[in-house]
Amino acid sequence: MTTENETTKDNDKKKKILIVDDEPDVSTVLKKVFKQSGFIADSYDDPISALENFKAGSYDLILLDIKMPEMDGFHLYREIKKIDNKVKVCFLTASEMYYERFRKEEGFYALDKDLFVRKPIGNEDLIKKINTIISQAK
Amino acid sequence: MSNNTLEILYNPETITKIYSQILDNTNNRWDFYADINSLAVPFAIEQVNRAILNAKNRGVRFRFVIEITKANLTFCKNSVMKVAEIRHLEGIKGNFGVSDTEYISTSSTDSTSDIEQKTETTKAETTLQHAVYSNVKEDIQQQQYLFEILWNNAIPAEKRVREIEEGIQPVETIALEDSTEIAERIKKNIESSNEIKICFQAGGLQLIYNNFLEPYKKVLDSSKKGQHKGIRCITTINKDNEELAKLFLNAGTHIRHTKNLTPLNFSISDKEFQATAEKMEGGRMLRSLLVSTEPIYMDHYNSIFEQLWDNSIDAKDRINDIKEGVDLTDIEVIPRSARARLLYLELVKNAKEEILFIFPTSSAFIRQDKMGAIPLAIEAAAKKEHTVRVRILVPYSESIEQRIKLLELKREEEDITSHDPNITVRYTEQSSHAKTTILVVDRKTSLMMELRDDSKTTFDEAIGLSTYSNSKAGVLSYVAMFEKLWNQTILVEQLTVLNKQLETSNEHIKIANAQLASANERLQLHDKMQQEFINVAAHELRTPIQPILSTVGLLSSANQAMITREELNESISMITRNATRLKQLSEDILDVTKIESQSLNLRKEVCDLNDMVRNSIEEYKRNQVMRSNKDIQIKYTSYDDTLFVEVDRSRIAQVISNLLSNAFKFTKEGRIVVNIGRDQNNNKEVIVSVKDSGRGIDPEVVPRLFEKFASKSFQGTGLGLFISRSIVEAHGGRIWAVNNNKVVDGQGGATFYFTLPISRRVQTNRN
Repeated sequence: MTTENETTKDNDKKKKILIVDDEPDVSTVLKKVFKQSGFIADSYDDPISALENFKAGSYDLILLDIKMPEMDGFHLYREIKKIDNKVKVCFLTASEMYYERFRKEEGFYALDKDLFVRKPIGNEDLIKKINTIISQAK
Repeated sequence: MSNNTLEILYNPETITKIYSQILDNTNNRWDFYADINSLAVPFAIEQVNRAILNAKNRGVRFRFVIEITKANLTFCKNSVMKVAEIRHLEGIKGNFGVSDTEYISTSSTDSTSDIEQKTETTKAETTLQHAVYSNVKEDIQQQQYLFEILWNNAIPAEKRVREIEEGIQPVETIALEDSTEIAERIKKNIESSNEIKICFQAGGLQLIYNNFLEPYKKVLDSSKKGQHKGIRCITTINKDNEELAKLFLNAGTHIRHTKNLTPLNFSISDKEFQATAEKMEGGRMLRSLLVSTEPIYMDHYNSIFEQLWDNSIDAKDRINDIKEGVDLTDIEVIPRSARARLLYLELVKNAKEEILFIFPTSSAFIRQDKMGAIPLAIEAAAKKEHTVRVRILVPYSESIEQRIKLLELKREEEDITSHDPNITVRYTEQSSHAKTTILVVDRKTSLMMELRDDSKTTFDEAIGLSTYSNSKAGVLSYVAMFEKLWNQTILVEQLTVLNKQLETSNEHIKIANAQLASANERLQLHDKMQQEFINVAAHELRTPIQPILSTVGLLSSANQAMITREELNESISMITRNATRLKQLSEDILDVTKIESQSLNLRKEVCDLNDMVRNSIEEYKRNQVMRSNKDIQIKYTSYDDTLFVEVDRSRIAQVISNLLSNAFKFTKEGRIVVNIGRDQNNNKEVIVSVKDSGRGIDPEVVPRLFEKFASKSFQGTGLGLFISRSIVEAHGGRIWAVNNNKVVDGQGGATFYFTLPISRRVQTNRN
């Protein structure tokens, strides 16, 4: 688990992003990628800890892996929505199967397909996608 | 004549004179009663005849009661009916005439009995020899009264004339009680008949032989000439009248035999019906006979006769039976079941050729078996002098089948199997309609026993009415019925066999279908697993690429000079780690492919397991522990002796590595203990165990722990244990896992075991 709170005035304008992926290598490297692109980024490789530490209004967007032990990305998203109704979401997964399965079987069918990103994705494409989602009206 | 005179007259002239005077004197009536002989007399004497005509002319009423016969019919019509009203009365004797005031009765000298002669002879020859005359008032009144009675009992002449002219017999019913008269009547009936039907008790033949042989012969003669329809006779033929019956038969009489004739003996001709209730014994003539020409009686007895005739058997057959000593009743209804039982057993016991049984219910069989019928039948079938064939039709029940088997066994014990199996049992369908037990013996006798109450345990209680028969037609129809049912059971059996075969085929088809379905299911499952495999593989293959791709991206986009040595090392480490993981995964997938295509080749060599395990652990530690920050110790206790095994070194190392990796993955902190040792039980195997202190194996996963993708782990391919098992089994070993007992081990987690056979070659070499 890694959290960083930067308190400079510049940082207020920066977009804040939370990354949750059970692969430590993925969450770590993605945090670096976002930071390098001017985001404020926190990352967790454990969904339960991520949820426990989540506070309303802390982030503009949460980037969630889907297939995780103990709590999958969708359920984590549902729990976070209860705390913060405004936060935007992007799902990151390596398998279409999990994406489809969760959409259909777990009752998240209403979720827009555009909110999904498939691993592996290049840094530039990822940043572009995230910016698009954040700038979208609710 | 003066008043109140009663006189006997002897002088014919006086008689004639007085007769004429009486007729002259009367003004109102002249009533005359006369037999055949007397009738013509008044007409024959000219003076009297004239007086008659005169009186008639004066308007005197003449009433005659006479007997009109064929002989005097013409005379009556031509002469008598012109002057008088006539009525007919059968059997008149004597004569008298009565007027208003006088009475006369005459007798003539002419004793000729020939009616023809009397009426046609010259009138002068007729003289009146004597007469009784009276004018006594009381006498006259008495005679007039007498005449009225006779008049009222007589029938109109017209009717009688028509009867004679048209040949119609007079309708009458009379009782005769005089033996002579009876004999005459019977004889007359025989002689005048056109057809005779007669039905009498056994003694009747003797009676006819004694009294009516001649008229019978005549009738039978004319029957042979086609002038008579013949004599049909129903009687009971027994040893006593057998010879007489033959005699009558030879003479051309048709005779049939029946038993239990009613005591009423009767005969019907085309003319009249005669009957008597007298016993016919010793050929004695009857003392009473009822005679009737009444059509109703005749019709009635005709139909009775015909019915009896149809139900009687030919006398020749009966005589044959008597000759052969078969003395049986034809059909007998037996109301008492106890008597039926005795008869039943008797019949079975005396069977000579064949016994057929039809049982309506299985209970009926059991009852009658208990009663002794079946054992008797078995005895009969086992007789050596004449083999009796026994066939039984009975509704199937287990108890009966057992009983039959028991009987067969018993037969074997008694060593009577040398005979053909003379008892055959076939099972029928139980029918609610079947209510009778049928027994047929030797195709000659049958006993039909009606079932009254099937719930009773004894024959006597269960059986109602029984019917015995030795009537050929009746018995043979039972036989036919039996044969039909018998053949039906064969058909049913064949059908049953066919049905069973069909059922078996169906069963086979069902099994095949189930196998197909299950194969299909397996295929589908396999497909699904294959799909799952691809998905998991895709996920696992893509995941490590992300850090590589992102790291490379970071490195290339960042200001190269700004990158610290530390950051660079971290990046290199991350890329190496994930590339290694990709390599591992690709190797696993390749292994699975080899295993599934059965092309996993082992390069075996003898090596010490101690060394191998130690090396594997070291190797694992180098690769794994350095990239994790978990606080986990790996403890290894080596065996204190060398343990030679013949294995593919790299493959077994792969197994150990997999197990360690597995243990490591599920353990957050604590230690992993690796142990090796000989199997205490057989000393032929070594056991390697890897014990962790993790969260243990999910019970749901245990049954398919070593299958592909069984793991609920979100790390790894889910292929490690599958590959491990395949490798161990390829070496002739086993692999399994148990969850640790917290009480015994003081910690949770699981222990994985695998065995390998100890190399014999090495053992031998060492020794």
